[in-house]
Amino acid sequence: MIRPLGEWMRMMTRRLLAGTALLLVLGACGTDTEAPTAALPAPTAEAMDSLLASAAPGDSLAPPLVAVQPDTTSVMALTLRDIGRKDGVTLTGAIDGATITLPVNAGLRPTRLDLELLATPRMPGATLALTQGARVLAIRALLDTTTALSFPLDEVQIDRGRAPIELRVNIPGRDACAAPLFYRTIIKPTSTISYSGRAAATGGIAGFFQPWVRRVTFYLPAEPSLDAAQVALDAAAFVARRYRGMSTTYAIAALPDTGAIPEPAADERALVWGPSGPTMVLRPEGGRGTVLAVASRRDARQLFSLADGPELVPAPGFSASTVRTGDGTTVTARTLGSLGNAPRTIDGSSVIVATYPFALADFGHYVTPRAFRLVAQHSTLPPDGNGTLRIHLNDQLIHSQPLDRTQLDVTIPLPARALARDNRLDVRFHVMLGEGGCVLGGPVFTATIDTTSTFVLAPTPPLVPSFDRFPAALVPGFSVLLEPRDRFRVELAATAIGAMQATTQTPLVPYLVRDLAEVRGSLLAVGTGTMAQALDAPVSTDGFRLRDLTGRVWDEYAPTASYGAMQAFVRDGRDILLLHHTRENGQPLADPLAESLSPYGWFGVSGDLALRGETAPTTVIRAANSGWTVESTAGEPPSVFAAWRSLIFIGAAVLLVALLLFFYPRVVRRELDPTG
Amino acid sequence: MNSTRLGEVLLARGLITAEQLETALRQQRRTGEKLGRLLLILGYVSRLQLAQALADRWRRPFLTIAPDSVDVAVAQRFPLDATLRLRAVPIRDTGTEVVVASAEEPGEELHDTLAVVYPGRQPDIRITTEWDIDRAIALTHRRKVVDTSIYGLYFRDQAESAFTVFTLPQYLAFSVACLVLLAGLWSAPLQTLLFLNVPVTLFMLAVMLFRTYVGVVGAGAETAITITPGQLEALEARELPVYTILVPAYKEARVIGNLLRSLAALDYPADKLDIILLFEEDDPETLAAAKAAAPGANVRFMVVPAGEPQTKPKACNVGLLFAQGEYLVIYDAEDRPEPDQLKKALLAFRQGPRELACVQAALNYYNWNENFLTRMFTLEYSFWFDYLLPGLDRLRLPIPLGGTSNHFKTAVLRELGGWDPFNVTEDADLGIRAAMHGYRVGIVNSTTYEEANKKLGNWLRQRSRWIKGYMQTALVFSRDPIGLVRRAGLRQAIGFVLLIGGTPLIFLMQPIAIGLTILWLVTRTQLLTPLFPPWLLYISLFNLLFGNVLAIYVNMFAVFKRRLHVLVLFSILNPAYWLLHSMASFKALGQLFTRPYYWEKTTHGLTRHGAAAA
Repeated sequence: MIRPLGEWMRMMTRRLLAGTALLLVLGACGTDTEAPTAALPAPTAEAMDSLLASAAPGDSLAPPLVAVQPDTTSVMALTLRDIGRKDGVTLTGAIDGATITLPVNAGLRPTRLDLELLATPRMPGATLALTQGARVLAIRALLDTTTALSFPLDEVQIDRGRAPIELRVNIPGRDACAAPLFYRTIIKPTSTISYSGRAAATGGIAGFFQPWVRRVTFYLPAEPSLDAAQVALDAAAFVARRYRGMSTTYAIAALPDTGAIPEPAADERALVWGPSGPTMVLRPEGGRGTVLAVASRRDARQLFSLADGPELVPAPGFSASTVRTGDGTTVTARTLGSLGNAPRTIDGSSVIVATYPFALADFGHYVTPRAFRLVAQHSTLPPDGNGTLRIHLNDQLIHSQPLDRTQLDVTIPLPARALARDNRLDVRFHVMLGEGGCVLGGPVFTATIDTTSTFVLAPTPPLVPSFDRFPAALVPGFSVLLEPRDRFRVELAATAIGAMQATTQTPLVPYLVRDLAEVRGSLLAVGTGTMAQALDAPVSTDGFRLRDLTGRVWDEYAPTASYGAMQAFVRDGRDILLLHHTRENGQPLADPLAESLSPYGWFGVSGDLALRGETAPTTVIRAANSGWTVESTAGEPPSVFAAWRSLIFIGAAVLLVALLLFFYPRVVRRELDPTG
Repeated sequence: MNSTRLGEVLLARGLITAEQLETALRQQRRTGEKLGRLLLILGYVSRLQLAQALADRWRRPFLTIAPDSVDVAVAQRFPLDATLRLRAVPIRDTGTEVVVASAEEPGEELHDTLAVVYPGRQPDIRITTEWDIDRAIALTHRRKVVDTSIYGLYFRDQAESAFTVFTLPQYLAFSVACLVLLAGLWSAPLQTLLFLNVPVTLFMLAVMLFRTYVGVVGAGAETAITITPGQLEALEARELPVYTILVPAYKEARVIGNLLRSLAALDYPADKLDIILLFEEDDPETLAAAKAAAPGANVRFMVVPAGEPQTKPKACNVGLLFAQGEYLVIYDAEDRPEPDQLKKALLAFRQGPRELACVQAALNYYNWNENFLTRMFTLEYSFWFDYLLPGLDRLRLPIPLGGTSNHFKTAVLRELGGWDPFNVTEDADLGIRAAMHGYRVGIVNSTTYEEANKKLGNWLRQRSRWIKGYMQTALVFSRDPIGLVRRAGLRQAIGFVLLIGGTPLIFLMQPIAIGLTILWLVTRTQLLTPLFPPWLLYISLFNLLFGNVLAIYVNMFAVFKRRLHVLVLFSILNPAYWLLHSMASFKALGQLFTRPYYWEKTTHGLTRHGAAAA
């Protein structure tokens, strides 16, 4: 059933008339400039008139309509994979625990946690406890044959849509030191969290993006305006950042030509560019309020670029704030705390590990961590015990020292060769606690890693030009150029931005520009061969030949063939990530992006050139700095066959017909032998 | 008794002795054969003496037919089938009476037929020799014999004859396909090649799996019909029917003598053998060599009238016209059948179902260890006859006959229309045709040893003919695919397509597949990538690697039945041998258009084993 927002319609009709009159006087004023720093006025009629005036070609002046759909969502259940635990949870040793933060949408309540388990074969009977803070919510027996356990979650306390719980295993054993080598309790990512209740209808913007949503869809016309496309890209980065690691997907969909936007289910959200009204949640009668109309780039920037944009503003209006994404000052250090890590206390009897994943993009553009200053306190070692601190960067041991005092403040150089786009820093304590140290209940070693531990930064180019330079090269802001600016290219840019955003906590802030002259900073470009040539991309011509180190032709695309390419390169000191395709068919471009991102997202993208023809699968290579050469064949004189192709085929056809006619009396209409 | 009287006549003329008569009578009691034929076979009398004696006995004048004494027009009025059946040729019409030469005692049927054909004429029947009758038939019915042997099948059912290589719908479909392919290569070459690659690859996969499966099934079957020595011993000579042996011999002067010796060694009463040696008019050397070998009286020489096509099946059809046996077998001039083969085939017919029309004996080579070619040929034949054909038999699928040692029920063979003289693998064609008509082909546990080709050029000629014949057969029986399925059944039709159609296709595709693989290995080019999407690439690799390995493997175990273990390692060289097949296939494809029924003659007698074996 389609129910337009009656009230909203009436209001908009009135303002449309006023806006039209204003337009006649002022003319069309572009609002594509930097967002103003002044406070956003309350959504008065005058303000709305102003917003209307910002409507650009490609924007519909008709207000968005929402078609209420019956909500088919029944009892909600999420898997650990859905909420960001893609590999599940692994508990190591005899005593270990892991914290899982459950997202709880408004109106819902977690009721049960059903774990699918893989216990260590032949391990002694153990227990698995569910706790929250100091409270023990439930304890279950864990045998080596146990494959499933269920925990009630009714008593779990929820704080602002999140419920952190801890699962803690306890395996009795005589040798706690050896236990980490033997015991692994694996909680599968298919374990489920069940919820009861019914998702509350969304009233305001603040609660629009619930702790967990399945899908966010941005509705765009085929040729969106600059503003609409900009907002769609902002939203792509926002969704990837807000639901980082989760299974939430972001999609660009076609704006229905005549019909209304179908209202998504309670666990989905839809966005639509609606410059003809205020930024607000569209909630028709009986609807769920899962559609948000964004009215201006300023609102979008506030919503999608600030760390807690939606939470900063009370429904239904905005409290304005300035959007600042980078002040140009050089940062020389980043603490673990500033990277989102809390103080961490770890304990154990033999090997104790704290892992810190970080991306180069977390530090900014042309900045790399050159050293790590570890600040930690640990318990004293017994007189007959000893211990070692070991630091591993991406599984490479980069530092080792004995433990002597209880205070650690050590600066460890980070070798550039060990750094990658996405990194893992392991702080390991290897201890021997001496007599009685390996008995359960005996003394344990405890260490607290302080959040003032710091990555010391240096302004150096991080990696050779390649896909690895992204998204670091895009920090703090970058330009996006689409040629032509259509929904297909917005979708590709949004996909790329979302994938890169998933690798870093640093917000990616895209600035959509009209042409190359407007480009500032690094560039994400999506276009055709014309754009590739304008950017002087390594692969830019219609036809080219790729030679490997030995000079052997590894691949060749004829000038008449269609292909799509994703390439990373540097021109005039600017990092450029270019997605382009030749000829009319853009599908060869969509495919290499999708195939490169599958299944690990941007984490799995390497090299500097991803190529795909119309039929062949995507091939990803590291062409630059590896001796590969790209030769354009566009200007080459065509081969004899190519030059005379049509004539050759016509000749072949004539010859074929002649042969068919020649053989006809010999093999079909043969005459009887008169002498026979 | 007549026989006693014939003996008395011959005794009275002093042509035989009493002992000789007694010997012949003893033989007659054992086999039940006519005394005159026995005396002839035993060499006690000549054909002329026997015919003269019979004329006396039947109180008829004796006549020697001179070519200029025969009025061809008169003779041609007498139907050929009656001439052949009654062994009588009218040679002159005096206006009041018609002079007839006969090799048999004139009976009522002859009189009745003469009265119908020559009304108002008194028959003057005279006795002559069988050879004179055969010569007279050849002289007077030459055109009819040629027509029947060449166009008999075509006039009976054009759809089953390879006279027309392509039917009009086939040719139109082929032409359209070629033009569409060309247009596709012009407008969308990659897609067209991919479109072409998919069915070809899948078909090759199906052919490979089919052959392997049939071979494995065949491995579990020793042979379809196994005849034991006990069964052979229990056979009564009197029960044995007359067996016709057709030997088409062209340019076989070197080996014809060996064959006659092999036939003389057959464990079958000589008086019940009707051996017909078929010579071509332009090959007097072979005829002379055969005469020089002085064969027994049960051997007839027949010169096939000239006329295109000059093929083995045409000669066989002539032989079929004159065949007198209840059963019939074909041997090539270089063949050495196992002595008990006729009896085994006979027992196989008796044990088999009514619809069993043909029994195929296995073929193998006596000169298998002569060189690379003969070894590979032996490997191939061992798999074909010891595994594949028994497998087809067990699965009740159409069996393409081998070129020799096929034993037929003569009446069924005539019903099927004989051999197709336009098909250069007339044997394979006949096997499939028998299946289409509801008859079955069985395999018997007896072997005929042949001479394997040892020279490459000779081998290529022979192989290109075989593959061209397979192409012809595939074209003939695919003219009406629905009819094929309806008549033979879906399973049999699929088996036919995979075996007969698949064999040439595999050989044609093999060098292309290997060439592409080598191209990729040497250049590592990615140009081929669009033609091989992953799923197709895996199938192609499976075909190329696993298919070859599998074929080599089944060839390896093929030698075990023959205990030719020394050939096991030669199986590994099969890919090289298959490339020779491919060369022959392309030659065959060209000839299919240019010389569709040209018979590439295989030269025999090149082996150094020839003399030793003889």
